[in-house]
Amino acid sequence: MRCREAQSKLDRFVAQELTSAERAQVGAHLASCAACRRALASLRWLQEILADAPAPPIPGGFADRIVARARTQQAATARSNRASRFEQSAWKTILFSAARAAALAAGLLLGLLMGRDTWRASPVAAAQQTDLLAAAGLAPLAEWGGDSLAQSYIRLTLAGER
Amino acid sequence: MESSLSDEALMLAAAGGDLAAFEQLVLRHQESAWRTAYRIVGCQREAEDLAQEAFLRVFEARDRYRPTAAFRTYLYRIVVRLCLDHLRKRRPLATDGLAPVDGQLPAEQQAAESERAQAVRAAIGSLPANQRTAIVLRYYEGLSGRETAEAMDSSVKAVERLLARARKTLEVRLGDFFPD
Ligand SMILES: [Zn+2]
Repeated sequence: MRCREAQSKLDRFVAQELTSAERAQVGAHLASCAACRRALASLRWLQEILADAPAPPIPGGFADRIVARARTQQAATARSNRASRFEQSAWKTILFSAARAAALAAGLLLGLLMGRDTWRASPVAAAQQTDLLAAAGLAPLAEWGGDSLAQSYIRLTLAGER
Repeated sequence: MESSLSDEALMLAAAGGDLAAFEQLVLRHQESAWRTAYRIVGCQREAEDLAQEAFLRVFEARDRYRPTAAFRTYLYRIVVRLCLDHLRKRRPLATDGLAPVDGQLPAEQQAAESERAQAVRAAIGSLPANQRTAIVLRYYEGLSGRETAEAMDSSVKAVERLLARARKTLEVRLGDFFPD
């Protein structure tokens, strides 16, 4: 064992944290090396004077301040959990309104197409119109054959609200 | 009120929303967290902020805490990380005035004591932050080599080398106080 390694192990040698094999190696080195014996003496001396150096006392109210901050944080977390539940329901309302607006716009567009088709009075156009409704995912509008398209989409948009 | 529960059990209770359990943990460990932070950063005001921050980090992470490592080592690790991060941002080491001396000592001895204590603080303050941290955990806080390594997120061998280098510097700086 070299001095460098022996000296880095001295600390755990003193604290008796080495394995018995390591301990024997360091012990054998110390027996034959005056420099490392000096390093061992200086380690013990250093530990002694460090143990002597006082630290200032902990500031008054230290624990109380931490607990107060933790309490505030806990309350804030509880509030934000409630807020996020509220936000989720707010999002549902927003998404629903957006869906309804989209349905309304689609209805107006269909009304326009319908008007043009009626003007052309072509049976082919009527078939295309039904396909168009199915393609747009608005099959219910096509199925309500009896009503006007305007009535249909008003019924669809109101259905969502119930 | 003193609780007989282990730190780890208190931490699990705190995770369940028990603030009194958290308070117990703070009371048990405030001294060591404060002392460690003070000895690493060398400034009382900063040490208080950092030690408080460490406990609040523990509180914030209470749901994720798993009692795989001892709570004590876990707390040291957070304190150490915060202090070293802080020192990286703040270059020069600010040191407070003299620490209070023991009033029981005779005047002459007291003066000698405070001179030595001052020299020790200056010598430790002059070490690189990671060497100083190893010294603080190992010699002041009395952690084992393994615990020191865990608290520093390092290996036992690396800590051995840090300590050996730090001791060499301290021997030179404090040589005047060495009893031949
Ligand atoms: Zn040697």
